Formats: sequence, structure tokens, C-alpha cells
Amino acid sequence: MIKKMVAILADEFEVEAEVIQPEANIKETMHLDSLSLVDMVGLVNEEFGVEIKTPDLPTIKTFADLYDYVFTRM
Amino acid sequence: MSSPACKVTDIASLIPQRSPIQMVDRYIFEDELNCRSELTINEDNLFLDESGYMSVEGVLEHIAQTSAAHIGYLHRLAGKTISLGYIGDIKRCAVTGQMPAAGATLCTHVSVVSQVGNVTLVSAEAAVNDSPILSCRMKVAED
Repeated sequence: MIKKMVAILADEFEVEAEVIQPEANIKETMHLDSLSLVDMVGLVNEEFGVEIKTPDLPTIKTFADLYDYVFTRM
Repeated sequence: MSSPACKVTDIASLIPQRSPIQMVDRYIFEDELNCRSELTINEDNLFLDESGYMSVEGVLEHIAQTSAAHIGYLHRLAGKTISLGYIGDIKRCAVTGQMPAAGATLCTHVSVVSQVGNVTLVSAEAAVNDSPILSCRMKVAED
């Protein structure tokens, strides 16, 4: 499941899959700004059926945080 | 916040654009995540090219105004102030049919994919006579 997530994120945000490491910062690694954050939320919703609530976003800093959030809600 | 599908003819109450830049005649609310809109293209539409066909930019503006109207309508249902909406970016734009000419009615379905703060990501498909002509992803940012 993590492999699928990494592949989807790497493709959407045009980064090498290798840079998506569990402890890496999401925004810095994928160069996300306030506009592109909504892309990540939409992608997770479409691919994994999990809606990331706006108030929860500040708690999701690393990819490990994202995996925990998504996979515990599937 | 659920309401039955309804048509809003007072589009001026949802978006700031006025003729000749107004690109939505009718807005139809379906649910919180979905809406439709229609535009009958007049001969003096600003987005008609020299051949008399709507430009791609015109269809994208129509989608943007539809999205802004939907966001505005949701704000109205929630008792909030309606803000100005701006195009954040456009992705996955695919032209799949011939652009319409004056006299045609452009029909668009917009679906909300996600929302973070004041930025909404929508998926949209525009059609003429039930034939899709353009689809895209668009971000609309509120002022």
C-alpha cells in the first residue's frame, strides 16, 4: 500500500520516488504550496477513499504521518 | 446542508461577473459536491473567435464561473458571505470535441474533488448537445 502511495505521489508531483522517505517532510519534498496541497488531499481521497480534513493537515508533516493517517482510516 | 437540486436563475447573486463577461446563464445545484450550469452563447460573446466558434479560454472561463457559483451557493446555504473566486491553476485539460458556435448551449458538470482552506479543486466536463467537448481539473481560490 505504501508503494502505491509513493508511486502515485511521485507521478502527480513529478518527483523521484526515492526522495519520498517516511521521515521526509511532505511540503519540502514535493514542493507543495497552499494551492498544490489541495491536489494531495484530492489524490488521497480519490485513490484511497480517505478524506483528509483541513484541521488535520497541520498534523501531517512527514510521509510517515500521511501513511498513518490514511491507512488507519481505510 | 443538503438541499434538493434546484436551479438558480439569479446568477448575479453568486458571481460578480456581468454581461458581456458573464459566462453562466443558469446554475443548477445538485448537492454539496456537484452542480451543473448552462450558457447559451450569444453572437456578441467576447470569447468567440474570428470563425465564430467559442475559444477554449471561453469554455474554461465558463467552468471557472460555474465553480465559483457553486462555492458561492454553498456559502449562501451556510449563511456565509460570498467571496470572489480566482482560477488557481488548470490541469489535465483535454479538448474532446469541437468548440460550440453562437446559438449553441454549453452545459457543464462540476464536481468538487477536494477543498483545503479557501482553495477548491474541481473536476469539470463541458458538453454541447450531450457531447463532451472539454474536461479539466481546476483550482479555484477564494479571496
